[in-house]
Amino acid sequence: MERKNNRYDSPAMTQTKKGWQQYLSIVWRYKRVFVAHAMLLIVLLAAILAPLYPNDPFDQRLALSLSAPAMTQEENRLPSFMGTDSLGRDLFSRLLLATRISLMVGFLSVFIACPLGALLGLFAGYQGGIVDVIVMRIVDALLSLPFVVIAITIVAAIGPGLVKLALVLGLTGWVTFAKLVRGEVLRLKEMEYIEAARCIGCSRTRILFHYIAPQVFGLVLVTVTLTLGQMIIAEAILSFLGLGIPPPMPTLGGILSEAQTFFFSAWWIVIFPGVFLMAIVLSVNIIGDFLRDYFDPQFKYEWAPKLKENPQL
Amino acid sequence: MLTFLRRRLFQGLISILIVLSIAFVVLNLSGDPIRMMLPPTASQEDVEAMRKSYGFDQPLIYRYFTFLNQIAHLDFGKSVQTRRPALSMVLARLPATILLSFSALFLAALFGIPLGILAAVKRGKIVDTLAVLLSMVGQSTPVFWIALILIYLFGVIFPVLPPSGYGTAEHLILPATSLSLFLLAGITRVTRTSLLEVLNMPFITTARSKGLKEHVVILKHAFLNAVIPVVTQLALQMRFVIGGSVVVEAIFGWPGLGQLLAQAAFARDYPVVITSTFFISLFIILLNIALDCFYSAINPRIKLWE
Repeated sequence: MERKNNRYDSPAMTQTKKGWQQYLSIVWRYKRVFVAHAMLLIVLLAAILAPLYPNDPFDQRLALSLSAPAMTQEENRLPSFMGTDSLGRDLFSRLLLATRISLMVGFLSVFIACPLGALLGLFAGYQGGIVDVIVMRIVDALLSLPFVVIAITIVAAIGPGLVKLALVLGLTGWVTFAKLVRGEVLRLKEMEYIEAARCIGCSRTRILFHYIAPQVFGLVLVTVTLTLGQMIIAEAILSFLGLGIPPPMPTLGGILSEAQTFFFSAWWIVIFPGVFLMAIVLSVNIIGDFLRDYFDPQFKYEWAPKLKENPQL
Repeated sequence: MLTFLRRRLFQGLISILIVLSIAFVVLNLSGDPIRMMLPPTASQEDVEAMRKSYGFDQPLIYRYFTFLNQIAHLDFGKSVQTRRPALSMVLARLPATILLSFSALFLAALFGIPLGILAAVKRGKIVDTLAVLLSMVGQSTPVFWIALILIYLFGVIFPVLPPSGYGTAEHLILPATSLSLFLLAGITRVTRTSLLEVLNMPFITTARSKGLKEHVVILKHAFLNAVIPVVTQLALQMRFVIGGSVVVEAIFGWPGLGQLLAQAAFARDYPVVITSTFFISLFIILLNIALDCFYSAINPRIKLWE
């Protein structure tokens, strides 16, 4: 969205326009953040390209069940360098597909939660009154309970499945967005440039979407990133408990749940799915933390000293 | 103080009411609950009889108020699986969950706070880097994977601790440790950040220039002023600990509320699910009120009840 700065724009708005090049150059300077970006990119590529991997994740070869990681060459397939599971299925190809599913559930649920929560937060914060009271009561109720417990309660009623799971996670996860956006809107709506907009006769819709929404964009993006990690972990927990996506579809939680049985004989089924899960969530969390600093208005051009002081980077 | 307690309890009850209402609506909109409880081969008469005995032949709004009325009288109905009262099943599980979550809380505070202080004092040194790394990794690792790794390490490779069960203190170590790691990471991080902020304040320079010993400055002057965000963090993370306990209990065969909830949800035993959710919510709400009271105990400037 490229447009000329006019004097009704808030100062913060013009300062946060830094462009991709500057973003990348900042990322490049901080090796932890850079590694996280690279890792996420690899994970995304792996998830997208998963179906191209030659080994079929559903192909059972009982003769090879629970074989340890090895580089043995075979016809028409790559070696099972991460071993096989109890039904002789290639672990790596299952993990690739599971990563794809994890990310699908994660993104889908965030795409439900984010617009819902952000819009409700915008209106509740700007409008105030009874709308605000009702929305915030529900938000506080859901925020005071464990996310997983709420999700389990609902899953118990509607049953397992990929789309249902994403729906449940999305419809319980919107509260974080609503709470944060509302808080920000309450602060912003008292600012002078909003008052100026109101004075020159801007409609409510225009003020909300033209003057307030761009200001909360950074906050929303940070929340999207951090929520994505939480959703992926929640999906794994539910699948682990047998309440998520039913087998034979591989999920990181589901594979780990099977692994419990083979503790004594097959370490690889315990280690690798966890490493995949951790790699995804860790990179997402590091990027989320970085974005929080990046969108901090005080961050702007003196970012180098600030980053040095910032304990998390 | 009584007014404060009463207000917080009232808010907590409204939260529980909202959650139970959502659960009720979802249950009733998602299809026929009787059909879910019975095997698909059940005859039409059986279905009708069961529908009558559970009161599902009544209109929705009537059932909603009956449901609320029953819960207000602590009548949670009978478990579909075991036919025992859901309330007594849940109450029997409560002590184990309380023991586990408090042990995790205690462990996290016991190791997290000193580690955070150490990291802040030795800023930029290797201890600091390690602490920051630990807190990042700890917050991104799913609790059930930590649990599996711990079982693998201490139950399989070096068989020193029992991998599952309940009863002795040894049985508590692994579940409590795996549950506390997430919390520990959060506490380390918050203690460190909050202490660093306080250490930059002028009164610390004053304390140092008075010639006070460094440990007095750090522990008495700085830490006590930095502790509020740590308690807040504890309160905020508590729900994640309880959420994590569901899966940790399932892994370690710990006979707590979380395990019951997971089993009941798997079997679609709805009365037990509702009852467990009710008590988990109640537990968290009471815990948060207790932590709020703790605020004003450590910082007299915070007066919650005036």
